[in-house]
Amino acid sequence: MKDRKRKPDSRKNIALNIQSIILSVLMAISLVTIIVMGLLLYHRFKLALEKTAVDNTEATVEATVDRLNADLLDIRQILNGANYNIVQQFDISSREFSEQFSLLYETNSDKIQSLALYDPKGNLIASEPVAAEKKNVKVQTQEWYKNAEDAIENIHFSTPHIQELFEDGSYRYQWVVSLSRYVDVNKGETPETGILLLDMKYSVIRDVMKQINDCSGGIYYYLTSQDGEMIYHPRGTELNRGLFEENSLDAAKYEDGTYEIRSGGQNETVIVGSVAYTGWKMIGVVPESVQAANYKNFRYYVFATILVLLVMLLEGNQLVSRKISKPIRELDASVKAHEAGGKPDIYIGGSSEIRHLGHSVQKSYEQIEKLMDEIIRQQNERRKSELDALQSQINPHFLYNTLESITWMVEAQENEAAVRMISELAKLLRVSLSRGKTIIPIKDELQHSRSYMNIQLARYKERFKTEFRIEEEIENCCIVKLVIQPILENAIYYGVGNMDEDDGGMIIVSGKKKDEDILITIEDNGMGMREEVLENILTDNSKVPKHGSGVGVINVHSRIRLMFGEEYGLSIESEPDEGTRVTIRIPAIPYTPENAEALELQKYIQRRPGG
Amino acid sequence: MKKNRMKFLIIEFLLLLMAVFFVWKIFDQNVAEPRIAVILPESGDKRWDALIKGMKQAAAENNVHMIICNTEEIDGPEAEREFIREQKDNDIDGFIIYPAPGHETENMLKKECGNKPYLLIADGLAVKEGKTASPTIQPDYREIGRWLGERLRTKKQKVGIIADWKMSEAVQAEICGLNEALEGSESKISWCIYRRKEQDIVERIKKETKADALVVLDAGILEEFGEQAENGTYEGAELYGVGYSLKTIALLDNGNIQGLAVPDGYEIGYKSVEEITKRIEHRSYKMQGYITEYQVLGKENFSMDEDLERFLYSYE
Repeated sequence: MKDRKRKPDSRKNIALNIQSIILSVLMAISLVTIIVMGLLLYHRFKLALEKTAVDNTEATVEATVDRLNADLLDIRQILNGANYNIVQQFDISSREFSEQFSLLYETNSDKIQSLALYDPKGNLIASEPVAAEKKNVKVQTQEWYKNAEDAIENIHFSTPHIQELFEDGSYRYQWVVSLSRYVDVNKGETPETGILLLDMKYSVIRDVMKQINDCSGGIYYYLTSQDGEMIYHPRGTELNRGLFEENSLDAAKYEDGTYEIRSGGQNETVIVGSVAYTGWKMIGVVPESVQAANYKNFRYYVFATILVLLVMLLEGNQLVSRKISKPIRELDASVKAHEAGGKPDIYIGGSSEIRHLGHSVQKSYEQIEKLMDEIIRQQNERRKSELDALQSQINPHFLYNTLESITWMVEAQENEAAVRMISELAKLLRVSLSRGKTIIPIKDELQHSRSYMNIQLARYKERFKTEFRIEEEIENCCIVKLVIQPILENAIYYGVGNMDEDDGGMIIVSGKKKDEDILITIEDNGMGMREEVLENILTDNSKVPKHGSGVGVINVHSRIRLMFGEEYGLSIESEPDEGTRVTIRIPAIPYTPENAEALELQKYIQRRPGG
Repeated sequence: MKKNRMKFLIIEFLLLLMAVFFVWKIFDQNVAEPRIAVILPESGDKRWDALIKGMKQAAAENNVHMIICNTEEIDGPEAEREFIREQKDNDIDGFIIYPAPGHETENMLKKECGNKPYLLIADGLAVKEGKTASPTIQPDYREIGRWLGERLRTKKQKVGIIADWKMSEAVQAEICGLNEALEGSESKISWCIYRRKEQDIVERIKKETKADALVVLDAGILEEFGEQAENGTYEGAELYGVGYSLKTIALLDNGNIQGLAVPDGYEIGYKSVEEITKRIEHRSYKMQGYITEYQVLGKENFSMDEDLERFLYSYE
């Protein structure tokens, strides 16, 4: 058979009580539900926020584009007015021209910085307001001039720039957006051409853009040319210094609509709207960081709500699990108390199932108890009948052997000895009968043994000697009757019985108290026993030679153990040609009628601790 | 059983603690913005336009409330002290200060600002052994001086220098750079005068020997001379100097100033607010000084190119 090492039962370590299981399950369900609900809510809110931000930005972009369209249309109309109603209508050298030119400027001076007419060589023909030209200014090299020359049918819009045309006594630089177009100039009889320039104040665009950017809450709007060149950006100065990045080149390529792009290392939603005629792109940017800032606040709400809910559920679930498991725990506790030896009532309460369980357990215990009592009663009866059987084995043998000895004596005319023998037999029988009791005092058992030995000594012609060394204190203790005599009988038959008188055969019976036990030793110096006999003498009845009384020491051993328990009985030591020593170990129980009766009913031993 | 109950109570307590933390975070977002006071001499002056614009932009980006103190000329530490005290009563979290001229300014700032962080935006502090310990955001004045010197060494000429306060570290650095650039050239510094309070500087330089070129390290005086040149009331030495305003650039554009270094006021303003905000938000943060950019403009090759337009956009 292989030596299998048993692994420690890991299931035992994780065994949970029912309350913990119910609580764990409830908490797991609650946790999953709350987290899933929280995430769904958060996701829904996030989408709603994103949509709102994008919708608002789209609306702003649309409104601003409309406004810019209107403003730029005004400016174009001014330029067209200057062209069709003044430049083409009046002779440039006429007074009306100057007056109309001046009037147009004055009427729109809130929007336009200057109005100027140049001839094809770049010489200034007229300007409003009237100002000295800056020295060394070459208008032909400026973008607005070249654009007007290149495509003569169109009005050209420049990107914002510092006006570099006229002297300005205010020590300031004027930011303008130049509108230029090729025009026919009415100069007397000869038709000539020229370039009409209208410098729109940059503030016209800047103010509109600034207004929408000032209260946008992180969302910002900028304006680029169709080439991605910046016209207005709320962080324009930072862009110029590289303190901020904007992906305007990509954004400007898009058609009108909403797009997700990556700019400055983060994702952003851009809303593109086109400004009419100019091709400029109005772009609203919803940076991810702005959205994130909005979510962050809501995220804290979600976290705080989840945590508070968790605390409440933890407490609630604990209450529920305690309530549900209470009857089971009560039932368990009462069953455990019952198992521990107490006799409490089994808990019956809680729901119908638990009540039914309680009733069943109660009924089971009652039945088990009944069965146990029945088994004990039956066992006692069995023991009694065994004891009775064993004792009934002894009595006929004794009687037979003794009567046989008396017969021999009478036949041998040894009347005195026969009388003594009969007297001893009478004593022996008195003890043997003992009014049917099994438990007698040790002194009666010793009296029985002495009577027996006196009979045997008479039979064996005093070929051996007997000695009793009994401590007085043990004489009034209980013993199972007729346990010494069979051993003495064996000591005679297998020990000293066959020895000559000269051999000095000796049987010593000694008794003493040791701790809580009594040891009665029957020692002879006879021929002793072989080892194999010794080994089987207390275990195998069939191998014990049936001499003498016919009752083996095994019977004595069994009776003592049946009466006092497994730890008591006989122990035998023997050496061939040296002798044998049999020790009877019994508990030291004072002989009283109560103790004797208790032992008879097999209750004394059960009452003793460890019995 | 008792042990389990204890565990539950601890878990519940921890969860509640976390819930309280998140509730606190919700309300924490509504806390008032940090307040920064900016103390500049003659706060309404045009030369601060770009600087204030940079500050405002950075304040908007960093959610900072900026208060620009309304000041006249701050001629010494005493005047500056009054402004600092006034703003301390105004529940200010930090200061951005243009240091007043005076030997006691540095000590006064340390004493008056106390545990409130402060940042200097130009080093007007008195020259001491080594550099000042206070973090300062400013251009490299020595390099500016060197650039001015490079322009003056092209021909033999006598140079006069006008500055605002002799002991200022910035002025000393500029003069040092100027000297380094002129070394080995035929141009020589003839004299160097420092403006005193209420002094008529035009009258003052008449007492000095005639110079071929004037290096004006005081932006106010440079504007004054440039304007006089524009009006035809000043004739004489060519004007070079350091200016902050659009007006000085326009004066150069008009040919009244021959060489001009313009520190990037926008960058100084932007960086200063950014830096002090970091310090206010994180107590352990150690503020750093920065060397900022500057624009150099010469009359002979002045043109409104894209770079200059971008630079001037900060004045818009």
